[in-house]
Amino acid sequence: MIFADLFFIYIFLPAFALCTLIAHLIDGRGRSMRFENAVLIVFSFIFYAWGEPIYVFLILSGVFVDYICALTGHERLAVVFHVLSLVVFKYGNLILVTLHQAGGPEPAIDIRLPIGISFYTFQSITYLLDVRRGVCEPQRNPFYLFLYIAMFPQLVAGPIVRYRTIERQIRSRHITSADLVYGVHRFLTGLAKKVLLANQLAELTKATLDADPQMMSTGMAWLGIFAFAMQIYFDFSGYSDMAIGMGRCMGFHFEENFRKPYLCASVTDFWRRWHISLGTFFRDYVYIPLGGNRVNTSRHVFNIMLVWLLTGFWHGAHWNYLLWGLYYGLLLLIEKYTVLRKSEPEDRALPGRIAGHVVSFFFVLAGWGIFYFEDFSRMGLFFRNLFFGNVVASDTLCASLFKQNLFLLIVCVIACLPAPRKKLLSTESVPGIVWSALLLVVSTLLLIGETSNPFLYTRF
Amino acid sequence: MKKKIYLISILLCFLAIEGFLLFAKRSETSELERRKLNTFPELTAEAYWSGAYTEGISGWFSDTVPMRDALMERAMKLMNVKGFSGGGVVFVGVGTEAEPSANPEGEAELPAEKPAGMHVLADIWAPYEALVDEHDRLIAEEEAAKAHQNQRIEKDYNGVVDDQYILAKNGIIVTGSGAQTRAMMLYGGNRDVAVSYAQMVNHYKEVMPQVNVYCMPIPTSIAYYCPAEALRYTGSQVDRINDMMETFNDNVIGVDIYSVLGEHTAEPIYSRTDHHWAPLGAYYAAQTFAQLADVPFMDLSEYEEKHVNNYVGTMYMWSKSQQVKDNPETFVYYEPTTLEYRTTYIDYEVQNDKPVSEGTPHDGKFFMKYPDGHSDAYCTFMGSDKRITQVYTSTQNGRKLLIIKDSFGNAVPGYLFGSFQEVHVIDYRYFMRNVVEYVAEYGITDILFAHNVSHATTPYIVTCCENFLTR
Repeated sequence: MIFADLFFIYIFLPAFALCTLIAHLIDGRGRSMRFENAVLIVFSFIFYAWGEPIYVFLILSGVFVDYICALTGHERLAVVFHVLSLVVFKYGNLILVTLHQAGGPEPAIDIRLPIGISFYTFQSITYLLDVRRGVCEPQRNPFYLFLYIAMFPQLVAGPIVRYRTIERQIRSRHITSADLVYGVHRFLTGLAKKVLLANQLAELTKATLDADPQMMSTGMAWLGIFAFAMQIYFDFSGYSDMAIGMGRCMGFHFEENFRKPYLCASVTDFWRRWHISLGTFFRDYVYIPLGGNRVNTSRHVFNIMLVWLLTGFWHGAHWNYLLWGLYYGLLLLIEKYTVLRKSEPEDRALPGRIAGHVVSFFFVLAGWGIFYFEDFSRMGLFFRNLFFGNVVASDTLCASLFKQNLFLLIVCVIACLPAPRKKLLSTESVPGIVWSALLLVVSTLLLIGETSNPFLYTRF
Repeated sequence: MKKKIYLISILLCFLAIEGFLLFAKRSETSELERRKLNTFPELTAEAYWSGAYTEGISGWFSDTVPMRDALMERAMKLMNVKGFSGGGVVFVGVGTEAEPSANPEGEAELPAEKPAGMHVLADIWAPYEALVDEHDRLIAEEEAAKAHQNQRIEKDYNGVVDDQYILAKNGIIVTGSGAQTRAMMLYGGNRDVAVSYAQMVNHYKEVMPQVNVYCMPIPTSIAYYCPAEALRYTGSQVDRINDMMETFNDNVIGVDIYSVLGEHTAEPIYSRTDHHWAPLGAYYAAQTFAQLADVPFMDLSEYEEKHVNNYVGTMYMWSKSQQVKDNPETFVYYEPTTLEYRTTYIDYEVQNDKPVSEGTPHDGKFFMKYPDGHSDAYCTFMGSDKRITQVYTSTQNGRKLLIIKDSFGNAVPGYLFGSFQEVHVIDYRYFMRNVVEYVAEYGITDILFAHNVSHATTPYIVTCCENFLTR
């Protein structure tokens, strides 16, 4: 089941809200969380089983392994289990195909990627390693452990929530009307980002980047990659907004996953703003255990490249993601080992700050080019068109597509900028209420007839 | 308090939509998309474990929203406001309409007058001249017919239009403005499949040497109206038709209607808002075929012209272009009035768009009447593809035609009732019988393949038609 779907919004969510309300009353209005948690567990199970009737057993077996291993002190064994399940289910096909291309036997099976496996295995790993480090106690209630791993708002596309962040909230949480207002507003904002912006940008991306690369003009290549940069941001941050909003309505406080990433002043800064929960996962559970930056230069370079190779490869079972990770590893090394390390972006003079923003955004856009094209020959042609032009192609179509989508592109750029200090559309004002209602109505309208509306990051 | 106002307001809005979605009558068909909407899935163990059951429920709920078409139209209108220039439609290129031909001085050319003396001579030799004229006409027709038989096409109409265009959804280009608006699907087909298609037609002749086999690849509108600037986004249909013409063996008659239609592009031979051609285009095509088949052909004056006004076809839904929606056209078709004919249908029972059985034959109307504004107007001919159509005409020449077609072919048979004693029509997507047995059973003398070039260059059609020979 996905969030941007009429069935989820108008059947699943109301049923869940009604059952939660009844459970809340049975629990004595929050004195206990027993029934409320039971409802959340049942609905999380239904949510996952709805899309993955068979792989629901994989997630259950993962929770079982985590539960036993954490209680018996065999956390490393459980981590190995999760890494192996990722290798088999996420990279199995790639391994088989690569072996076949190298002269091995033809793949006899086609392994389908279980939705959300990249996210929930990482949540399990954070739990296991935190227990091992003594940061938190092992959960003695297997249902609560299932609740942490498989809670439906963040199950299939994050954010990657740490166990210690919500450990207490699982046992006890208090929901205020401010939480509900914030949660509802955040959910509607995320829904609109997905339906009104990301889905529309997807058409522009398709019309430009999926065109015959031999016929793609330079303008079209730039327009396409800009559209994709916006699409992936609004798609993924929209999902995170919906997850954070739903979590808040249930009394959970998930950490932010995005902080205006395209306003980054350096590539390092970009990764402090983009998919924050993934960046901090690799920082805390891979980079720092490897020694971080408190090692000699060659080891530091190795640490960075390994972490970024893994970060890239986490995004998908294709070699371009590996290249994408290495690309960022190299950029970060350049930032750390050249003149650029001497000053933090905010310490620079205005021209330096502006240059930092422009150059960083340029490299981020180019990075999305590596990310988008899984076929290396198409990727090569795309970069040729992007940087060296294409004398065969004209920019007529590009001009047409640009004008056709100008409002959309302007809205996207505005939505990437910092919000004004004084909120124009506060939820406590009439325009704010109307705005939220409008987002709900228009998003609903655009979901009619859309029977397949997946989020990009659910495929990772 | 203000927080509660916010929550109550959003809750009321949500409940209003919820109530509408749950309690209003759910839609069952979509006129916009011309299809039956998803039905509630059947629960089986296999469907459940594969995820198809749960996916089917979500799909059914989203697909069958009450007042679906009207709401989708609203949504499309909203989404057309993504750019500027009203409705998000922006044009590039120059010129919008074909200019009338003019001589170098800028004056329209008029036919030269005959010298006065000619009238006298004409009166004396009138009977002889009539015979000569008739003879010349027949020779000209024969030559014209031969010109369209298995010939390589030299003149290419691609890109002659110098027009504005935009690229809309689903590989559709929208050109022109106002009443000149035209939506067209880009074409892509390769030589190998075109050759396979022609070889399949050859195979029919080899298996049934006693039958005349004709193949009439029908170009789609982009073959004529594609702006020069947009040519690089679409493949060449002329090249594919030529691939076919060069592959047909000597006994198969390839009917070149590309060149014929090319001479009539100023007339409404293609729908502007639908992916099909217009009945007038089919008339010229049928005329060319009749000349090659050496059968009589009724002039358009022997038909009654009928109209469906405010017609907007499939291209609106597929392109989601408001410009297409805002510029409807008149669907003009022609019903024969000077001969008698009887139409018998054998309907297929279809499940999941696959035929599972044939119904019993029943008589019906060949031409359906659709009200103004109806988006299904092209279904005027036979009403559906999911049936075998058998037309028994008052023409007594012993010629019996079988048309193996797609929906483009639907517009052709209505012009051939005066040409053949029987006209049988089958659709390659649904036909369930062995075609050799069918030909023998009904004494078919002529087979015509009438598929649009897009379909004719897909492997699926080749497989389907080959299967008809052996099943």
